[in-house]
Parts: sequence; structure tokens; C-alpha cells
Amino acid sequence: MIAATGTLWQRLRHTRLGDAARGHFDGGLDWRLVVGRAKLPAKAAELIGRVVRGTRLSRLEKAEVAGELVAHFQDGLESGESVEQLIDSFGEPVQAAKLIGRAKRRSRPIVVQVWRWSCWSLGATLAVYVLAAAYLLVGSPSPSTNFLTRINERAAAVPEGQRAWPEYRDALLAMGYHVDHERRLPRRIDLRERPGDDNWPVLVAYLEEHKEQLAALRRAAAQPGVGYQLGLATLPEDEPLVGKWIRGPQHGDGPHGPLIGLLAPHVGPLRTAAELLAVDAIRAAMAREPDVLFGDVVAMLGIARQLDESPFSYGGDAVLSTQRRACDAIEHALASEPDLWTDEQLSDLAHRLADFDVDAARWLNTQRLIMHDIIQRIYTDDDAGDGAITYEGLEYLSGWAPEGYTLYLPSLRNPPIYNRLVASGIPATALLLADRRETAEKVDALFDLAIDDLSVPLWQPSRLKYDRELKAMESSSRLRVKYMLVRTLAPPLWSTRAGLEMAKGRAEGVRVGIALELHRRRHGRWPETLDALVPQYIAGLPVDRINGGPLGYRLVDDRPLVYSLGRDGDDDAGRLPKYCKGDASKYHELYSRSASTSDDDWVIWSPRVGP
Amino acid sequence: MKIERELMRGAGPTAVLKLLAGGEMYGYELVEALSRRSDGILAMGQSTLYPMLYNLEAKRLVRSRLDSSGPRPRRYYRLTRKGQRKLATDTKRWGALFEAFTAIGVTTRPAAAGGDR
Repeated sequence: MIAATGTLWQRLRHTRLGDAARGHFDGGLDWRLVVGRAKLPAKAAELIGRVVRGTRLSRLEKAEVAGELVAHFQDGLESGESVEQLIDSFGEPVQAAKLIGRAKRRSRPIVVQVWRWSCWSLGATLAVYVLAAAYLLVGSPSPSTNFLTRINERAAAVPEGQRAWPEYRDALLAMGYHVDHERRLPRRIDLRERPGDDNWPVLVAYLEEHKEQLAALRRAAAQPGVGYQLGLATLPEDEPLVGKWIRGPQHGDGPHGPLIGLLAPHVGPLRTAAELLAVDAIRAAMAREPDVLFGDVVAMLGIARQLDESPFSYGGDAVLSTQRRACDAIEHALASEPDLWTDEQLSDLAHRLADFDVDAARWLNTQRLIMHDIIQRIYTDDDAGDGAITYEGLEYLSGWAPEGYTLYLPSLRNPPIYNRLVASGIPATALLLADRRETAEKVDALFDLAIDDLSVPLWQPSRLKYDRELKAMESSSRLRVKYMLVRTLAPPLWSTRAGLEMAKGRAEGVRVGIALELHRRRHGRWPETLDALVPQYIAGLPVDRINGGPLGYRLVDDRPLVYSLGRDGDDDAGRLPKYCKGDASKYHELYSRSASTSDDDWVIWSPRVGP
Repeated sequence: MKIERELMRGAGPTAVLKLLAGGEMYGYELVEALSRRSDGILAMGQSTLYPMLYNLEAKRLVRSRLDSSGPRPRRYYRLTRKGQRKLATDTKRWGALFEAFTAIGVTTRPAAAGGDR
């Protein structure tokens, strides 16, 4: 039964604002009151009620429809039709309600329609967003590939009895090397001391006191490999040497710890071993002990070769610096005691340098594996190479991301409420960031380019593709965000290439220097040109690594000088940049992307004692 | 004779527009006129008429106004310009259809031309 008057509250609620302002609370917006007031037969009122309710329109629209249907029935009754006839001719009420509702909604003003659709769209988007958030928050990375075994392949392949590391460790410990010492060696020992310095005699006494250990270092350097496998924790027996480190696997890391925290504690002690041998080489030259001197240099080259067993950039730096140290030792020996070594020893050293091939592609491939390891700790895994970003992954990222990045990542450093806010943004992040497959493919494409670029000579910079690809990623804000992870972790290839070129150039300079010395011994004079060295003293002349042309060569104070013409490309008579202060080892123009503006050359062989 | 729903869906709006071409009418008046002037063939219940009227209004073919001056408020419908154009087009189409039906013998031409009743 539909009430005719309604309660006061009902009328108050359903009165138009204008009527209410005039104190006329008629409840005209309530279709029940509209129908009730018409005093139609109950059957008709009930039918109208069913139809109006079924329209699911706004209360104003319902009141309008009710009013019109009421009027229709009243007109019919007035014309003499019976209620039954009118109800019979009315049609199907459910269908009527549906059609009336649909038609009325179409008649709504465009603003109302836009509003309605906006609300629907917003609601639908929110629903999808909430579902996506739930899906992503529930998702969890499941790192399953142990990339570490691939990184350690070479070290693991060294037979147990031929691993140099135990011998290095014992020798260094016996020499007083300890993690607690400021420079690792006993306080009185400073390996930067040189002949003429106040404490040089102290250093010499230390070296003579530890002849046995130095011999052990030389023996260790002759082994086929160090056999040190990189990991996430140090071994107890190495602790006095390198300290105690544990980086995983920890809770949530899966069966294998994250490679981002990969430890290479053996690199420091091996560098020190090479430094000790370098200082001993200076001592041996002064003491005119050619075999010891030769052994020291060969051992330095051996350490450089062994360091290359662990293919990653930090190890790579150590390889190059140790090789440079060996080159410096050869240059110093030939400058101070040119006739100390036999021809055979010199030829042997030249061959060792020529055979020393640094495979930087392996370093980059290790970095590639570390990137893939990070990916498997950030994304879910669908077992088909794809996956979605996860809250857990973002939390993992924040553990080592630069400070500013934690603003956008959930982190223990943030208040919990902030992390919840970040979590609510995960679907948006997932939309913006590349998915697992895209990220992995981009990483592989980028590292392939980087490896290709390693073989591009310095005089063909236009062939470099890696930096161009990185720049392309920087060029659009969409790509910047999409590949944020890749950009953040992409290695600085330019400096790797520069380091490699510097080391290779230096080694070539020393090989030419040895050939010059052999020529001098045979002919009693330096050759007029470098061409005179080929093929008797050197199989072929290296080219200027900067411009691809012939190397510069001249005699200064009856000492040969071999040099690259430098970034400016003209012959400046082997003049180094001012900042080198005469020390060729300080030359670093290759690390700079812009061409040098100063007139200078890159000296790669200059056997003069002191600057 | 009852017209099938699908046929009514095409014919109904044209019939309503045609009735409104004669001046504004309210719902019951329209139902009554349709039934009477078509001998019940185009008779339609409220469940058909009102959705149709609201649709025509949504398409701006008719416009309505509420008249509260009488014994009870009534909503009157009248043809808009757009409605007039639509009616003209529909009339031509139905005429052509009738001609075609006549040509193939489905319908027969009335003996004498008759105007609106």
C-alpha cells in the first residue's frame, strides 16, 4: 500500500529546494507520495510502483515518470476504461521499467551523462587498480638461478693443488699483513717509499727480512690460478687477512644470496702482493740482482693474470693497475740498470706482455649476470621469462639504491605509513616500469652493444653504440622511467674502455721499449726510426691507439721516447700535459670525453729515472 | 490485428511523430488517438509509448512540457524542427515502401485517396 501523505520527515526530505524555501513541504520529489496522492485503485498504484522502482532512475526522474503514469491511468479511468483494461493494455511492467529507465537516462543533460560516465570509469579504474595492487602485493620474487656458479666457473676450475690463494695468504700473514693495520702492513712499512726517501732503508730491511715470503709470492704468482671463488661471506681462515663479512643469503634471498653484495676480499691482498713485488723490484735493481728483479716483474704479470680469473670491474681495475705496475718496473729497471737483464730475459718479458690478453667482455658479462640476478629479485617469475614488479622487489631495491631513490621505494628507512603509501602506488609503478622480460632484454641488448664497443678503436668514436643507446633512454621521460633500473645499474663503459686502452697502450710502449733496448745492445745505438725494429726485435709495430697512425718516436738526452700523439693529434715532441708534472703514469686524457684543449702527447715509453 | 513488435518498433515512432505534427498531445491522448485512428492496429500500451516518447525526447525529435493548469498535471509533447524533418524523411520512406509493396502486390492502393481521419 502506498501512503498518500507520508511522514513529515519523508516530505522534508523529498521537497524541492524552491518549494522548501517557500515553506511548502509537499514531498514532490518522492514518487510514492505522487502515486499515493493520486488515490488510484490499489492495483494501478501497485503497477506504477513496480515500474517506477524498476527504472532505477534518480528520485526526481522517478517522480516525473510516476506523475506521467498516474496521469495516464487517471485519464483512462476518466474516459471510462476499467482498471483491469488499463492494466491489461499497459504491457509488461518489468520490460517497461527497463525501457523507461534507459530512455530517461538518454534524455539526461550531457553534463549529467558525462558525470555519470566519469563516475563509472573512475569506479572501474579504481576497482582494477585495487585488484592490480592486490595482485602485485601478493606477488613475490622467487630467485632461482644461481649466477654465482657461472661467475666462479674459472676459479672453480683451478685444481685444488694449483690454487695460489693459500700460498698468498700464508706469505702475506707471515709478512705482518693484517686487516687491523691501517695500510694492512705493519705500521713502519710504507710501500710508497722510494730510494732516497728517509724510510727507504726500513723498507729494504723489511724486504730482506722476508725474502722467503717474497719467494713464496713469486711461486704463488706462477700458479695457473688463484682459485678464489667470489661469494657473500668470507672464510674463517681468511679473516685475519680480510676481516669477517657476511652478506647472504639472508632471509628472503632465496637459496642464493644477492650478487649485488658480492665480495672479492682477495683483490686487496693480491694488490698488496704486487706492490711488495714492485718495491722489491726497485730494491733488486739497485742491488743488481737480475734474476730476482726478473722474478718480481714476472710475478707481477702473473698476479695481473690471476686477478683476471674473477671477471668483474673491481677485479678488472686491479688487473690493469697490476699490469701497469709491472710495466713501470720494467721501464724503471731499463732506465736505472739497462744492461742488468739478459737479452733472453728481455725477450721473455716482451712475449709475456704480448701474450697478456685482457678479456674485458668477461667483466661486462659478469655485470650482466649481476643485473639478471637483481631482476630475479625484483620481479615475479612466470617461468616463461616474464614477471611483474613486486613490493618485496622494490624493498630490495631500496636496500642499496642511492639515498634519493628511497623516496619512491618502500624502505626500512621510511616510516611505515609512508611505505604503505608507496605500496599503494605499485600498480602505477608497474605500469610505468618495464616488465621483467623487457628489462632483461634491454639489459642483454645494452651489454651486447657494450661488448661490441670494446673492440671499437678510439679513433672511431662514431661507431660506439652503447653510449648512444643510454642517451636514447635518457631522451624521453617515458623511457627514463621505464628503464630506470637499467639506467641506474648500467656500467660506465667509457672509463672501462679508457682504462683498457691506457693499459694496452702502456704494454705496447714497453714492448717497443724492450725492442729498442735489444737494438741498442746489438748496434750500439738507437735506431733512426721505429721501423728499423721490425721484424727482428718486434714482430710488428703497434699503432697510436688514439688516432690509429704511427707512434711518435724521438731521442731526448740520448734516451728513446715513444708516444702517442695525444687527443689533439699533432706531434708535440712527447710533451705530457702539465698536470702530469713529467710523470707519464699520471696521464688520464683518455678518461675525459671531450678532446683535450692542451698541446700534449701520451708518452708510453720513457726510460728516465725520476721525473 | 496486432502488429509484430519489430514492425511496431519502426512504425510506432513515425506514427507518434505524425500525430504530434497536428499539435501537442499528452500520453493518454496519444494512446487513444493511435488506437482509434488505426483501428487498433497501432495501439500501444504505456510500456511501449512512454519509453518511445522518452527516446524521441532524448533524440530531440520531441519536446515536453508539464502543464499544471488543469485538474491534474499533464506532460504534453510537441514536435521539434528536428522532429519535423525526421517525420518528412520517414514519410517518404514509408511511402516508397508502400509503393514497392503495392508494385509487387503485397498491398493494394485504396480506391479513393483518404486524408487523416
